[in-house]
Amino acid sequence: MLFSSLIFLWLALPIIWSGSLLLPKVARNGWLLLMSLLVYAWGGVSYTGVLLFSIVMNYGVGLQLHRSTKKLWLAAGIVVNLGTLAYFKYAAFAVGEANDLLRLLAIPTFELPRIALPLGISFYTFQAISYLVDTYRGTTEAQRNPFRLGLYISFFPQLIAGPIVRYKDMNQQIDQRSISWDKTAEGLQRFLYGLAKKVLIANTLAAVVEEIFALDFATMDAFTAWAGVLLYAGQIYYDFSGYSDMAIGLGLLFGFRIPENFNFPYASKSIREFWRRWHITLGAWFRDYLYVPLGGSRGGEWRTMRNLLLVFLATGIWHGAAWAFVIWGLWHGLFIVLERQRWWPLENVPYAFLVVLIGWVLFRTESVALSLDYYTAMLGLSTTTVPFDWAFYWDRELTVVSLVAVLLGWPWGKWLFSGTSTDIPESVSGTSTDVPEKLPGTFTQILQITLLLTLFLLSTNALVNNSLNPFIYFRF
Amino acid sequence: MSNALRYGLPIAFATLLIVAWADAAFFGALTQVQSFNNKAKKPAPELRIDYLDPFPRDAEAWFNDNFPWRGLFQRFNGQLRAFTNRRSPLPDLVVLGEDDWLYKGGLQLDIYRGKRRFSPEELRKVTAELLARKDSIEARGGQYYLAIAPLKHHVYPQYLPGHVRPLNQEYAVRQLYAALGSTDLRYIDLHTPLRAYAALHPPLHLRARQKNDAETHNLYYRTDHHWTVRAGLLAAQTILDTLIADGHPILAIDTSTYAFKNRPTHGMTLAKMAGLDRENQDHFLSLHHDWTTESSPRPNIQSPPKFPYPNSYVKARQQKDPILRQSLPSLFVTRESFGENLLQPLSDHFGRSFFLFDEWKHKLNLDHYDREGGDVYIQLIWEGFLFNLLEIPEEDGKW
Repeated sequence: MLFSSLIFLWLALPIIWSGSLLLPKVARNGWLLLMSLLVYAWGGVSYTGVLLFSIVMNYGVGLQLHRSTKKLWLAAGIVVNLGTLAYFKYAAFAVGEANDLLRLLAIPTFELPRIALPLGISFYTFQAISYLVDTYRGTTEAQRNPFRLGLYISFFPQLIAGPIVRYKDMNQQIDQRSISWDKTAEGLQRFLYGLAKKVLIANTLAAVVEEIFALDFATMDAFTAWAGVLLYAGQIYYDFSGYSDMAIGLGLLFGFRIPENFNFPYASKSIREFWRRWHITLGAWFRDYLYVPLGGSRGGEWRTMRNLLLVFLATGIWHGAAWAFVIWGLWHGLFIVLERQRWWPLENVPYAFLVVLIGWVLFRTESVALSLDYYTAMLGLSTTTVPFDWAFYWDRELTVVSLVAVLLGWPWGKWLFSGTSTDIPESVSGTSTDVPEKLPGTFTQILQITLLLTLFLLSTNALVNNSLNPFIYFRF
Repeated sequence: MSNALRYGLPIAFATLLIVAWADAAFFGALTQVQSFNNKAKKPAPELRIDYLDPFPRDAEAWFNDNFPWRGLFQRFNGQLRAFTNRRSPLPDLVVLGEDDWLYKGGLQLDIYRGKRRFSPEELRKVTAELLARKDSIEARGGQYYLAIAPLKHHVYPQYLPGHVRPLNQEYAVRQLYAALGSTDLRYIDLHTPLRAYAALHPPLHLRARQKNDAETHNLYYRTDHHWTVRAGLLAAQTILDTLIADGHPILAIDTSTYAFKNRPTHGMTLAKMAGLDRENQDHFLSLHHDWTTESSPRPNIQSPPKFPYPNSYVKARQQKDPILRQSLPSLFVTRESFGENLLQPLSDHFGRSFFLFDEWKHKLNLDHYDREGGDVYIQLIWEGFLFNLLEIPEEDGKW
């Protein structure tokens, strides 16, 4: 069930929220587990079997991780987790690629498997692996209550699209957490803000992006190509960060503090910095569970470069079963490696943004061949161009939304009033550590409440009336 | 965080949800606004153990269609978008023009802009189909004519918003006329006379028109895609002039014997779809004449099941005077809603007339023609449905 859907906003959320407030503390985890499974099943009942298998399997393996054979159990757990992910996510791609090779060799091909991708499998598989590894390392105890582990893996706010939470961060909160007025208000604020980012900004940008990327790239003019990828950059950022805001807000409503996932990524001056600001929890997961075990930067320059490229190869593959994602991952990895070199001269926002934009073309088209056509258009090398009918698509709403998107996408206030540092958290809670918090007046807060409720009603209005409500990270 | 936000936001949000649902359950003050979906609501899904996977999708679609405040939000959205953006809330269905002139969006807009045109293959097919129809009718002793009722966009383009620009002036009708020009199939060009009349009698501004009778010259309704009886009479006159020129023994229309009356009316279909309808937004035109024909019912002909206008499926008229009934030629028309305003003006010039509303299929309907006969067969089609002449998926032919 998408959070940005009428049924969630107006039916599921009030039911789950009121249940969690009214039920006694002892029943809250059970209630949240039940609701999480129901919300998940809403996206496809049969997928729930895979999720339940993951919970049961990881629970069983977790209990074995105190034995002398724990290394073996850990390896088995990781293999089963990644094997499940590989089967559902990559089998069709692998068979397709193998068939291409077999055709070249004139050998009979395999039948292409028709496997539906269970929702959020990439996210909850990584969370499950983090549980096994943390338990193996002794960072946390194995969970003896299967329902608590079930809640960790299936907790609905972050189940489908992250942020990817660690077991050590959630374990204590599952056992002991409190629901307070402060957390509820902060959670609602965050949720409504995220909803507006997703529905009012990302969906509006998506309408034009869909049109532009449906064009024939071979006849696209350079202006349209650049505008298309710029708008897509806005769409994917507000889409994903809006959803992360909603997840964090929902977590707070139920007493959980879920880690931040975005921090003005387009304000980065390097690709290295970009990955500390974009999908932060995924980057941190790969750092802790792949980069560091591979040796990190401890084995000399060449090993570090190899490890970085492997991490970004894995990041690309994690995003999708297509060569375009592999190249997208390596594209980012390449710049991270280059930026480590002393002679590398570039470290500014336009450079990093340009690299990210070029990468987004691969991400959006999901095809290397189409991306090449698109790059040709961006360079203005299309031999004949058909002008895009901008007058038809560009209206006042898109103008306003684009301006708001630009304003909210960069830390202008920080840049203008506090020097050039961009290191401030993106959350709307104003919990910046280096800026002393000054409480706004009552009138301002009433205005803020009115604005948030207006955003909620405007989002509802958009959901009632607009059919386009894509969610990019849903399929990962 | 200060107390105002700490307590105010959760309480305000919860209150909003509680009040809204309480209203939906008990009072209905906010749910009274009627939804104006141009589609049937999804049925309530059945929860079955062997149908679990599609259940959530169906249930969500049902919830969305039955969302208690759907009508309220649709109307609000229409007003909001028109006010802030000057754009239609349903760009695929309605285009907001100047001075409350509303136009069909989607396929019909694409046809007007020349974005949807006949491919060479389609043009070859449609021409061959029409020629085959002509041959069939001629083989039965009749004469086949094609008449295309223009899109409102072509007659009143001046009120279209600035962002709607024609992409190709050789739009589909012109393509078809050009292709038919080299054949002996007779088509009756209604675009030229209607555009000429509209240019001579431009509609008045919305406010100015309240004071006088100038609206009676409007060929299309301001808030609907249909033409008025004025356009119907003008089209009938054009058709009859063509038939007379072809030697059919009928009299020309004397337009001075017709009277028009107009009365202010509520916004019509397009305004309702966009949630922008209001009182006195349009004028309804009626045509008055001392008609010489009477209805000739066909009780044995049943309209197809689910046809939404069973009373309009078949309409037949005949001269009251038995001598004229026999002496004047007979007429067979396959039509859709645009034929309504032609019906009486045309019938008055024929002995017997038969009008078939063939569910927007625009087929030849030989079974009906063989039964009813007709010296003149007119295939009337609205330009917006022109592509229905091809075998296209049913969904593409609807609006």
